[in-house]
Amino acid sequence: MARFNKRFEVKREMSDGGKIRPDDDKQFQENGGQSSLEQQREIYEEANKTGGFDDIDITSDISEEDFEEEIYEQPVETKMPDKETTQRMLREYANMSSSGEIFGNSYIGRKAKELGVDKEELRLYIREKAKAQIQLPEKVLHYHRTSLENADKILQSGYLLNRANRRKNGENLTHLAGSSSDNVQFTVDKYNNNGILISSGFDLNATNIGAASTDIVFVMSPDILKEDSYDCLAPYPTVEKANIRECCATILARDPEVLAKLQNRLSELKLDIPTMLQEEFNRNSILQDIQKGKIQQETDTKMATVNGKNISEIDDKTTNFQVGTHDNNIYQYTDAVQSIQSNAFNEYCEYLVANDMDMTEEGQKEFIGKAMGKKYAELFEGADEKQLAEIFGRLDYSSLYDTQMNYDEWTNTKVKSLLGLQKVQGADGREIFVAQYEQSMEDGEPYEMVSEYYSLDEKGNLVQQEAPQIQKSGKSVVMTQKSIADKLGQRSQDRVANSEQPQTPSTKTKEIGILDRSGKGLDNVINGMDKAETKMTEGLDKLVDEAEKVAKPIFEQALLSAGFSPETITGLKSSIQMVAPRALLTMDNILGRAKDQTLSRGGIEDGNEQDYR
Amino acid sequence: MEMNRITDRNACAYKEIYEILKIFPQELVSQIPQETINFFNNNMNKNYEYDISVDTFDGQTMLEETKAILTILFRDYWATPVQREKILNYENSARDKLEEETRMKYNPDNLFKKKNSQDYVEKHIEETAMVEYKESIFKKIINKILNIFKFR
Repeated sequence: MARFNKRFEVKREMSDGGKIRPDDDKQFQENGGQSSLEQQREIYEEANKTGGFDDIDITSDISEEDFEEEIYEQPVETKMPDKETTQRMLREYANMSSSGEIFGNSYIGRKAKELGVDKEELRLYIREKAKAQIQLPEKVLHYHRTSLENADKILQSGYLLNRANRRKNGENLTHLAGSSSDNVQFTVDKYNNNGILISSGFDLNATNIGAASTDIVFVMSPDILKEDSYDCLAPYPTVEKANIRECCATILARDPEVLAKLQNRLSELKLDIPTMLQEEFNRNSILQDIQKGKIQQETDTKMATVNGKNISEIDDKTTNFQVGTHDNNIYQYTDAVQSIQSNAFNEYCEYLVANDMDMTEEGQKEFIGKAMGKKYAELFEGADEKQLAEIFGRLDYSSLYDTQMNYDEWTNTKVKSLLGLQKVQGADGREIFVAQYEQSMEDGEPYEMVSEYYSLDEKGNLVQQEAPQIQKSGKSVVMTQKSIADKLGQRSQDRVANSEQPQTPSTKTKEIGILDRSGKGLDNVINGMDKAETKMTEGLDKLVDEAEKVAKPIFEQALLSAGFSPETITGLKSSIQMVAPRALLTMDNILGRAKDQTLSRGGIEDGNEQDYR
Repeated sequence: MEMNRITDRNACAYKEIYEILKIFPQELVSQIPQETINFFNNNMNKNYEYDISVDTFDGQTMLEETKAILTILFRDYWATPVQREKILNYENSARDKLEEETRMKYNPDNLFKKKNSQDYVEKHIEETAMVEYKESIFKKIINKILNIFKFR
């Protein structure tokens, strides 16, 4: 076809298209194969390069109208496709692509002309629309199988590349054949709109996937969807290139020998990509790692500047610990912390009454802070952790108090939250406590990281100071909100477990003590009950639905009891949900006829007549 | 030929569902009439291999026909009333859609429309014209030289 087109040109005289100019043919011959207009343009461009021709009108041989018609693209009225048209286009493009990329490209070209849009723009539009229809895109993993030899090339270049790009890289691809696409192909996980995995892109025993080898499987994270060239309408999703540093979640090796070679190569190339054997593949674990990696990246980005300085300018030690962000400022308002705070406040009030003292801001911060710190310290066992937890409580209440009071008194809307606390050794040997806060100066303003430095005086009071010199080789202990929240959660669970144990005299004494204390917090309990009642009322419908879901599984329970795994049960459910309608109707007819024949022969089905229809 | 192919697939599906029922718990299988199970046994393709066990069965690797049979069994014997109704609704709307498609396909008016579009395409092809480039003088000389050498 290419040779044919080279020798002949098919020109279509269409009533709505641009007509061929009458003198084109003659001028074409005289100009050695160029139209007069193209020759004029070439001269004009050449002239402009050398300069000095600006005042000469070299376009005088042709009319201005014709010049503009040829040189400038006429603005064409474009029509954006409506939703229905878009859906139809997606279906048609998918159908055409299933026969081959060339047919898909041809379809795009044709449609672009019809709609009066640029071909590449339309291609991108279709791809984006198709991507938007992917169910659970954040969980979709892609799998690219290849040989160890090819994997080596991929690791060296750092990219999965299509054939065009590989040729540009100087690779000889004459040996390649059989793949239905020039682009990089993947198998992919597919989910339905209920979040159930209906098709796994990775099958350990698959033999008919088309890949030349299954030595290595690149497992790509959902970030690959960000590629502009990502096309999920092809039979197998494709991209033109993919950065393995950014998109590769893990690499699977066929056996330990291949794994060893792979790991060596990754180490040589200093590529930090996880690896595992194919038989160890665990989708959930990989997705969790991807999620953790994203949170770490967010944290790293947020920690990139501290007190206005780039992280590289600050001693790594003081900023190198894992902290949360206001998004996962997790324990601030949990009931356990609220309860500790309320109890501490009650104790403070009793203290004031007992000592006939007035309430002051500083006094409140100090007393309640210490009380909270004491409660946090009880959660831990190591001396360093106890000390850090106690100081954490003090600093934490202080920032909470400021935030709350500012908010209540409308002085300002500054928010400051303690995220983490680190104990390090100062250059002079003293213990330094580095408190990492997240603060927003005004409601709606972005959060920034702020560090404050404290030491303890002889009386055990916290003294704030300027950023000191830190010993790099010194010991470092860290306490974060998450550490405390985990311990509080653990304690709640232990309490529940212990409450089921048979009562002993010592537990009875404990109970009496607990009852006394809980009498003081009765108001809190009543408030909590009100809230719970509201939640129950609102969630009643949900509970009914959930109960029905829980009550139903005679099917599921029976399968679970028989030893089927939850994944198998999920697979069965998705098979039922995704059954093809034609197959269902056909089989319904067949089984219905079979039943009728049985009945007509005098057979009865356990005395019950089943209604298939 | 087509009928044979379909029959073969159904026979394989019966084998698959039979094997699946073999590993299913008794409390589920006992709800299916014996005649139905006998039907699968009598009509299945005994040479078709479908080896599964409780550990290896993933619930998804099966023929479409098998999924359909599974759905029917689930609908009739294992589903809650709500689930059964949903499946029946799905079947009814699928049936309606199929009937609509059949009606559209064999509607004489649509056949006529199709013919018209075919005419349009044929007419359109007739309107294309081919213009052959004349070879450049340089090419002509080369070809002449080549022709001379041919006869030597």
